[in-house]
Amino acid sequence: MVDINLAEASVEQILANQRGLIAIGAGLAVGLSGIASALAEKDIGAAAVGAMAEREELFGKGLIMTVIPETIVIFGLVVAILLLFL
Amino acid sequence: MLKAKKVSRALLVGHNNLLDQVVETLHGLNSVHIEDFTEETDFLSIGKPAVVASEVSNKLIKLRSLSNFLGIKPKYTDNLLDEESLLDDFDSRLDELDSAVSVLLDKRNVLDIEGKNIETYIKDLQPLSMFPLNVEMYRDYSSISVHAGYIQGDRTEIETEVKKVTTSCDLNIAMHNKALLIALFVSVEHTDAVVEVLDKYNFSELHIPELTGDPGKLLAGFNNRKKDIQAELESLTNEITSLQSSYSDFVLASDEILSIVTQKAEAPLRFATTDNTFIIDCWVPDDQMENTEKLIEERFNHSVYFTKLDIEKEDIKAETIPVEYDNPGSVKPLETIMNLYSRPNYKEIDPSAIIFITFPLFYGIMLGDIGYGLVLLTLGLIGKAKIKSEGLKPLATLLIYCSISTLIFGILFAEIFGFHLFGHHSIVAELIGEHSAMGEMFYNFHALPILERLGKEDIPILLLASALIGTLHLNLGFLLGFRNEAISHGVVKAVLTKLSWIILQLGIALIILSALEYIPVIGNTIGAVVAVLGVVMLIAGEGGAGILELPSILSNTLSYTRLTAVGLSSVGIAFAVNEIVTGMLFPQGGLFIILGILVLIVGHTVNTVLGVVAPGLHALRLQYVEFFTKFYEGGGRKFNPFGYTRKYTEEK
Repeated sequence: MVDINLAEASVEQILANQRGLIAIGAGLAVGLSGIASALAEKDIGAAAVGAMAEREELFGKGLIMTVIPETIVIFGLVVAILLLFL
Repeated sequence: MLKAKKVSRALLVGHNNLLDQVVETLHGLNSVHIEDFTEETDFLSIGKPAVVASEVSNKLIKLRSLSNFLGIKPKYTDNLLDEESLLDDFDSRLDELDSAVSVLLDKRNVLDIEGKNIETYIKDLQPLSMFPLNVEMYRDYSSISVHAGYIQGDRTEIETEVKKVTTSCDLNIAMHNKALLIALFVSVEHTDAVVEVLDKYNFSELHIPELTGDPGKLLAGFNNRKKDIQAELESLTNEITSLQSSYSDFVLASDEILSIVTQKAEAPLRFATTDNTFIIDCWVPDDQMENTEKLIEERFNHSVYFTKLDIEKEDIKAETIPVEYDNPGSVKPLETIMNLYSRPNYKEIDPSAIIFITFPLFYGIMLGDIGYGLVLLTLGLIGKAKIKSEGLKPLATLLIYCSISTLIFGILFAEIFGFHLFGHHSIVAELIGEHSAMGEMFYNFHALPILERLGKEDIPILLLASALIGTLHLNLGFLLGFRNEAISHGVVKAVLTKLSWIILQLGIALIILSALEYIPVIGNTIGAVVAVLGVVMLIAGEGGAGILELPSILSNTLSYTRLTAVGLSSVGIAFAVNEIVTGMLFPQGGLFIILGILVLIVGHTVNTVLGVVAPGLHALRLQYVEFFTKFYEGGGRKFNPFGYTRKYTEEK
């Protein structure tokens, strides 16, 4: 990271630094919530595939169950959007 | 629409002599759902199948096993066979097919067995062919013991160890498949000592086949025969294929006819009978009732008694009434989505017609791109024309609905494959110049208010709009829930459990509005009172568990922000692809232009696939998880009319 001495930094440097931090925040919001979704979905997905092996017509329900934790990452995405665009 | 098709319960009673004709009549109607009779009493017992049943089912089993052997798959055909002419020579053709198949089957079995034997011989002979000895030389000695097999260890070491036991022996050593192979001939008295030595080196004995002659020559012969067998099996497969193509129509058509005959013959198993009479308990759709009653009356001249039961008076549980959707043709494809979740029960609202609007709407808001919309429309139209399967056809129609909504929102967002079509960032204006006549037209196109999905100003509007759509959608759910609850548990319960949510939201809305200073500060207090009233009503209706449910109103509403978020992610990918190509690859010229075109095609193909899957799933999820949980119970039984929809045959 660029070492910035605030007293000597120009306004542009400070703004650029802020933009960078915002981008990191947005990235963390999406990335971490993505991991959370993945952790939740992995078990449901495995169970859904298991159920499907027994009864193939459960595909629809299994798919829906699997995407339920997707909300977590959607919230992350919304937070990232708010960070980047507001 | 919005309700399941009205049905009534009916009873048919008549003399056993008329049973076959009644079954024939009901089967022909193909609109009556028969309720299976299961509880036998002293007086009533389950009917007996017609005499032909067992004979026909045997034929059906034979036919299906043949069909299975030939690998005949169901298909769509316009060429319907005439039932009568098919039945005329059915037995002879079935026998003909049976004997043809059994000849092929026998041939195949013989070849299979021979092939397996040859495989074993080849495996046995391969190591033996390393030594210059005939196969018969390895067996049938009285004074010599033979040890032929694989061994692990050093060649000279083994040799010395064996020589230590006896020098009067014949030891052959060779390499096979990178393993050491020996053939040791010693006199019988040294057997034990030699075996001890060999065991030290992990000796594993070979199997000596019952053959005579030079192993190399035998091996060559077997390899030739193996090739021949393979060729013969191949020609056999061709014969099976030709048999399949010439008999497939016959097999499918006769399967259908036999199924129909079996269905009719076994129908009495579902009826209650006494010694002389039968009772058929069934459900008839109200629009078919008159027709059915008249037909029975005409055919049997009052000798079969037909009576209609009143569902309301009989107090029949909603779950036991079979449900047939009652939707106009354009809403039918959405029934697939309902079935994926659960068929509505008889007394509740069938939301097919609602998701007919909301599903494509949500899909369109999320994808919203003229380019992708046109691609999906093309795919949907092709699918609709080409797909004959009843199961997949509704999905093609659904894709068309979604693509139309995608196109509409694409125009609103002015997007084409992630580029802006018109407005100040118009790709057309950029390509041909803002000042050319055409470019200017696209540049200044402001007839529609354009929402820029990647513009800073419009994103808050979009997020707010999607939350608002969510609120409307959720409250529609609560209202439907109010109606369902009022019917099944009374108005008071409905007010407490469903209307309380709406009151709570009203309170929250008042608080927010006063906080934003749209209404006087007093709204704050009023809002709080209203919200608390809502919570109290909810607790009165649902009990303590209601408190746990409270946060769901917030998470459910926020969940609708995915309408913007998922959309943005798809625009994001398209934008990134375009940026890589136009900003980074094209300016470098030469080979990079070809690479750029490649990236463009691959990137947008991937995004189209994601564009079908992601908005589809999320639009579906908003229905199932957020919307349906507010009112929907499901669990309806399928209305399964007694009859058969012919696919391969016709009656003359």
